[in-house]
Amino acid sequence: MTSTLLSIGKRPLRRFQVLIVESDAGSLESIKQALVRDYLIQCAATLSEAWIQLETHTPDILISELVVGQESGLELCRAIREHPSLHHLPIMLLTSLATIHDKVSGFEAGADDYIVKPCDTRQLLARIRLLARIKHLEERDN
Amino acid sequence: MPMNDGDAMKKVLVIDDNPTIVELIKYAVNLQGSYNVVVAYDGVQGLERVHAEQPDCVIIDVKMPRMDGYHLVRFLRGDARTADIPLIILSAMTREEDQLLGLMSGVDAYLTKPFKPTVLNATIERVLSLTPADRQRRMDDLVQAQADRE
Repeated sequence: MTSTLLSIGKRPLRRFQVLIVESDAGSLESIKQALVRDYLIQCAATLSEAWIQLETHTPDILISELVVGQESGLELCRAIREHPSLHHLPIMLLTSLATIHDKVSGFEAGADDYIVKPCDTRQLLARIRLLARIKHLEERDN
Repeated sequence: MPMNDGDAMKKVLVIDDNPTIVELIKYAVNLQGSYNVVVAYDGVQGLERVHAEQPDCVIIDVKMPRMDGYHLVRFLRGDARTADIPLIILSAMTREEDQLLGLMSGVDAYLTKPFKPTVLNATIERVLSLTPADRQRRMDDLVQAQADRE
């Protein structure tokens, strides 16, 4: 599927910086291919790598798997929500885990959005773009 | 009318933590139409019931225990099994920003309380006719509006 977000409208979109936390090389590659035209991409295969990226080049949005090698994306979500300067970061879980328990755990850990793989590329592109605004509006109310 | 000859009765799931509002919605949706109404009283129970009941339409409050309506809408839209279920928010939150949050989260219609039964019924009928292509177009429009704002 091709990336079409920039061709939807007349005006080009600012290129958001997206950090993808994904330990599976094949999944990472397909997500990168989907996003690379419309977003600036950072990658991390472990939670340690993710923290280095977060503290050196804070992205506009974090996209994480729930299963990151032997580690948990939930742990990353919780740590970000408790971090003094990162707690507002929009978090999207993009995962192959799809039970209700997984979704509720993701919500309770602080995820703003939850997308089950495989997903429609065009939907994914749009949802990333809207999530930053959603997060801003929700934070303003809290 | 929501039913045609030969059609099964449509199932509407109402998710609202206020039992009085739930009863009002149940009464209202059956004033003009004939729907099988099922109920959940918080966001997590609502998520469970969507998967268990596979409703034709879901009416969702925003301020609820355990999971709010906006997150519930996003989590439903993010799963192919529930992505194309018609979703209506029915909320006491009336600001333009609240409605924008609902629409950006993926809801098909945003109604405010107090509501008119005729409007609720007309909205249910409208969202039942939406297609995945309609939803994608709406999402594209929202993205473009966001780009214009930036």
